[in-house]
Amino acid sequence: MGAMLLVMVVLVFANAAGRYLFGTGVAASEEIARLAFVWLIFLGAILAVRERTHVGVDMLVQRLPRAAQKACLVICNLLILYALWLFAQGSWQQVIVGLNSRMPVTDISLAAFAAAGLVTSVAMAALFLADLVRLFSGRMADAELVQVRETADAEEIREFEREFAAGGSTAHSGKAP
Amino acid sequence: YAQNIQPRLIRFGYGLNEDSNQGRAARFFAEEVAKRSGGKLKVRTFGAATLGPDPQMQNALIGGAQEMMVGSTATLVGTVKEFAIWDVPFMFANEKEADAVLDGPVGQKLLDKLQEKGLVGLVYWENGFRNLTNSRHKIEKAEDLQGVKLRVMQNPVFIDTFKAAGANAVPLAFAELFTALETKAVDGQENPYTTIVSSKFYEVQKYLTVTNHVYSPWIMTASKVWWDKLSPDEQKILIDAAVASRDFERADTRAEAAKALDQLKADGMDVTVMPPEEVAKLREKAAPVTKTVIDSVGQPLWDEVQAEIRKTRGTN
Amino acid sequence: MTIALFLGSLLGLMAIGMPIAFALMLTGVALMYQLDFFDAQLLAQNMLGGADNFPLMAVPFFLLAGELMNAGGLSKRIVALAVTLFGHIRGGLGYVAIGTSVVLASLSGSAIADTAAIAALLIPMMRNNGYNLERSSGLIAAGGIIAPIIPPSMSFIIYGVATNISITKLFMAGIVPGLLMGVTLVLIWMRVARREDVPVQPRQPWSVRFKAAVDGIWALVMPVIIIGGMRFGLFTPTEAAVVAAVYALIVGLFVYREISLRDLPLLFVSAAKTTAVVMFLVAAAMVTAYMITLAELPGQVISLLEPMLDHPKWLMAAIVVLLTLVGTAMDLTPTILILGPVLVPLITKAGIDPVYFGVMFVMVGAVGLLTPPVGTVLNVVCGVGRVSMEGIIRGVWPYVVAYTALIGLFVVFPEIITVPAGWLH
Ligand code: NA
Ligand code: NA
Repeated sequence: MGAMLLVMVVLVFANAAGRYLFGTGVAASEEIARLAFVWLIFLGAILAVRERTHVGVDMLVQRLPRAAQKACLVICNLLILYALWLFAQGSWQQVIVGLNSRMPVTDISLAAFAAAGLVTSVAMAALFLADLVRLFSGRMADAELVQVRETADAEEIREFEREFAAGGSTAHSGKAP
Repeated sequence: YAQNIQPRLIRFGYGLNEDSNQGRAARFFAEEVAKRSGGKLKVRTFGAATLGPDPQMQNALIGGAQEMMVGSTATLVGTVKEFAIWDVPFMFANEKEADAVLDGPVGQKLLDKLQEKGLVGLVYWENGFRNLTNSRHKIEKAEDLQGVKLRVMQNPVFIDTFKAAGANAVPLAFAELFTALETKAVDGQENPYTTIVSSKFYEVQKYLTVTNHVYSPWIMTASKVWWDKLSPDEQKILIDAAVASRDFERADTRAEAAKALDQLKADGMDVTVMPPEEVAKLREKAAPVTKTVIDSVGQPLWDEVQAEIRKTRGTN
Repeated sequence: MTIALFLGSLLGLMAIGMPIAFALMLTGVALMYQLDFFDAQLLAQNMLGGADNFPLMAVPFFLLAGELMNAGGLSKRIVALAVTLFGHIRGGLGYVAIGTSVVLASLSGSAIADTAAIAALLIPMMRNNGYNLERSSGLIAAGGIIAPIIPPSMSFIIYGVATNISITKLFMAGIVPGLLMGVTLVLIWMRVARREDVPVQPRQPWSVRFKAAVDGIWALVMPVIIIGGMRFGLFTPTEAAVVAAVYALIVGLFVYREISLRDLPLLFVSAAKTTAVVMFLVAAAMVTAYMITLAELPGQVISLLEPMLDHPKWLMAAIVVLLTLVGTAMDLTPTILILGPVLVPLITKAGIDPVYFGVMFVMVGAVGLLTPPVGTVLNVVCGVGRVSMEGIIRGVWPYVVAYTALIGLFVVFPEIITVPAGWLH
């Protein structure tokens, strides 16, 4: 993922720099950068399912009793699995369609884009299924019952601050000498 | 009315705004279909790419998730490579030649090739002859293009054509074009008059050069999966309405292009017509590019197109 | 019926704790069933199409630039300078945030990209300086939506193209209301900051300020490079974002030497992760937007407004209410694309200036980026600033109310927009 972002940076920068310095751009840059962008988004979204960082509202579920939280989680996961099944189906059809089409400059098959949808839906479905299995086999911790990002989580903030402190604490530089 | 018509809803997508020539013709098509089917076939039009950009709609048609669309033929090149022939620069001298070839046997042959890829090609509409604008200086001669930073379509034929002419051909997404022109990140662009007006390029471009360097058609297509479910009566209604819309669209576009040129002049653009001998120089420079297109689409198809053009010229 | 199904399914799914992106996908599916247009490809296609969007690459680039500015010591120095200048004022970093929002708004045209940059830059600093996280992130979200009002603006470009209205005129007309939004934020923050129990630092002598300025010179020229680069045509807005990232990288690596090559993978991955969360949501919103288009919801609502043609100000007020409601649930770009072309003929008939209307439309739509359930800017701040959705809603509402009052003022006195627009054009 980081590598894909690097590819995008290099290509888009090269296109701008090339135009400025040599009066011409890199024709293939947009197509490859777009492909990298699509894969970055979907692979990152899979990771976000695993790390439970997708944005949601937990105002209501946080206040529910444990049994109700479990019920919500089961309903959510089943509905999401249904959406992912449709996403997989649709992506598969798009892969088939895409095999017959190519991008104008790079000649990359459009199936390379649609494949991102297929991989995402399958991988995400596996993660949500695994959660259901863990829930029903009683191996899921209570803390995991609410799966949308609880972003004000103290530990996450501490981690972020540690990350930050590595670059030098801003709090100090602003204060009087 | 014909006997075998089911009530059907047809989602018809296109890329430009509702008040563009594309939008007017789409509405005309919808009205024609309604009239000819006694209101049973209902075409619902969706402009401004609300059903997605051309490549996305094209995929939806192939997969059967959308019924009909009109869009650029350039999008089809990735699917049926022969469509690259409509991108050849300086191939048609005027609309009459374009009409004759596109509506003739060669045009039909290409439409037929779409069938095996899951599309039904119906008719060609007109986007128009493309012309140059720039903010740097007046372009009257072929040499004037030297060093001009020109945004071109993301298509090797266009990029190579303008590189061969000495311009710095810059591929850039259309969505970023206006800002790029405004901030002078690029000096110029090339599009039909109607696009120059509708995208307001005249606000940020001073010089317009009439080059007619390439004729861009649009193509109306239907989903083959869906089309095959229609009765022959229904298909006939759609084909007839498509042909009527084509005639309407071309007349409308040509009238608007004439008006657009006047409007561009009124908006303060400095309009220059490139003399034929200078256009010929550009055509010469583009010859190697044309050669690569011929290699890709095959000599026989090229010869057929040329024969059709000669026939049209002979009758002039 | 359609609108009830849409809101019911979206809000219901979010209430039971489903991530918004999946709730949007399933709402799209529900609408498909209701309209009898069921097709799995529509879901896949709109997801893929929503992700495959070149101008939105500004999002990861600005996120990366933010990460690099943080890790490379650039942001630190900008803030150090800002604090020597404003630290002695109560809530000083809030004014820094507002100023940065207005300056960045003149650098880029996308609320999401701007908000991401400002949030990555300032939320950690405000927190480290003892500011309340919710109030700070609310302010930054509210500042982020100035981006599409002050030119350059992606929204004005889309609106101008969709409705055939002069983009230059829209740009010029956006300057004054954009600055007034900044003034509004200052006024509200003055009140909010009274509650901030933040240690106020002593006023710094000019020698200290000068030293901070010299130390931060490499960071300070960054906006100059971006503004200059765009004004003089070296690059487009998306490229400006990438140039910002590369510049921050070079300065961090070779000038301030606060990052090493070994740190880079982590920074890139971090920016990529945030991008994925934000863009996955954008992609899922495309599915719902597509189905709303197919359902022709806009057309049905418009017919209700037709009797008001004789009373332009009331019509305008009604449209503002409508757009505010639409804005709660829909993103700015699809709103413009779907409603712009339908509303403009109507308001033109009523004698309302379409340029003024365009500014109002984009402004109301931009405020919609701050309202739940679908508030893209809120999501960005949640993702970048690590604030809960509930918290950010608590932090942002005073600004939403103030912006709405400002919009109300523009409804009653359109001259505030139209008169300066006339001078500038
Ligand atoms: Na802006
Ligand atoms: Na909203």
